[in-house]
Amino acid sequence: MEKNELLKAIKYIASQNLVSKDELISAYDEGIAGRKSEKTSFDISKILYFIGGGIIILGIVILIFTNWDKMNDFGKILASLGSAIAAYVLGAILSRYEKIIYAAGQAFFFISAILMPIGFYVTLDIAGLDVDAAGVNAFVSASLVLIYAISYFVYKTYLFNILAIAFSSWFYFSLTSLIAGNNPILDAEKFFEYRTLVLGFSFLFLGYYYSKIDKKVFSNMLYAFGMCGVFITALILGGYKPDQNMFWEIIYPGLVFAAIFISVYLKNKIFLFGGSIFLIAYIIKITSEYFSHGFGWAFSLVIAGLALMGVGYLTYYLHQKYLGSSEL
Amino acid sequence: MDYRKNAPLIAAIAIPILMIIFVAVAIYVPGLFKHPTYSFLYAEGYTSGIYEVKNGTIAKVEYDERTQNYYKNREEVKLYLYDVAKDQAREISLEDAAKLSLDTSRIALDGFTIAQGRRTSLFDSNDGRNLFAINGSVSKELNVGIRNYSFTFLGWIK
Repeated sequence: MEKNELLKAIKYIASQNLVSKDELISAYDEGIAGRKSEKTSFDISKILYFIGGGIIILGIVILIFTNWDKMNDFGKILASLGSAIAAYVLGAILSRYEKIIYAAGQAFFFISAILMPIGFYVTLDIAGLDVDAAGVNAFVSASLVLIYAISYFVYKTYLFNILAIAFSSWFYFSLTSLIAGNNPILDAEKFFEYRTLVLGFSFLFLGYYYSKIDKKVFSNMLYAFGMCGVFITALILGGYKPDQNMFWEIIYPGLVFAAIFISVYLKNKIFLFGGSIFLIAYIIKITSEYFSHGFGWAFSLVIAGLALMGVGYLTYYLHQKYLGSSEL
Repeated sequence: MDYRKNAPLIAAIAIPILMIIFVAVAIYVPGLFKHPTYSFLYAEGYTSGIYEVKNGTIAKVEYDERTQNYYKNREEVKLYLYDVAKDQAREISLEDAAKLSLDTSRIALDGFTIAQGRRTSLFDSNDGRNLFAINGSVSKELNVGIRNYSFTFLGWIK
């Protein structure tokens, strides 16, 4: 029945005193409660599917490791890569159905995604390749990106989108390692930190893109990972006295306040709380680095405490003034 | 395609790609214009107590019997001559190596030094099997594979 027709019918029965306002409201509430209970049981089923999936993965991994020496090469490949392909095929079959069975299909796709890299490594190891080598890692990650990017376009499931992003990040790290080729002029630690920083910025842009196409949960997840990537590495790049890097120590508060400003602009609480947490981390680091020797620890703690209270109030003020009504 | 709507997606993909290009350029481009010009002698394995370079000539260290017994179980040390013109290394005997005049400075007259590559995993970093000629920001991988990861530089060929 069309919405307008329905409303017309309600108006008619109300004008005829056939139904009271309370009866209508109670009928409406019952309908909402029924939908909620259906949704809750569906969510519980989904959680159980994924917990079950995790147990299946654990079982297969234990099976492979405890029987590794007893299995021949074919058995090893079958147990790892074969299981991954079987889980994928099962996921594809179950995804053709609706709701509850569809969710089981997603759980099998998840199992496949965890087993697939293990399967690739076992197969390549048996083929005699050095699985620690950057080239092998680049090949495995590129293959997985291809599989899950195609899967996303075929099934339009956001699980594949998450997997494609995760394996693309791995591909990015292994490809840059392959290009660098164990070069001794690169400081391996710094190289890793700068790559993580760049990936963090990429995640923030990706999060913004998903917020524009109304995928808020996905967007917030990317914002959280992106902020961790940017702020944790920027804090590490700042170093510690006497090996500190003044550029990163000076630019860090600017990055934090930019994040807090963005939280107001985008009306997003992840940026506000993330910015506040990383500002607190910075205050603690700087206090211990520069003030604990001159003023002593006790006075430094007073300074840090006052600064943290300031950050707390700023966060509360911005939240109340600009983000009070936003969902996240 | 709506470029304005997709601008953040384009930026998200472009940023790591630019980083990959930047790494490739920083690693390979400086090496296109500067090349090492000196050949050198090196050993695979630890030469300490076996060979020594004195007055620009390599020689076997002579020990008493007891010390020789101490060193005899160590892995065999092989000598190699890296030819910079051919970009390849060949094994040479001690007799041939003793005919070479060596400069034991770590840095050659052209500014290059020799360093072993790094094997980096998630948790640690060790000496690798490959060798690099390094001069400031220039690094060139040499066509050399160190069999057992242990490398000893013995000197530049004068």
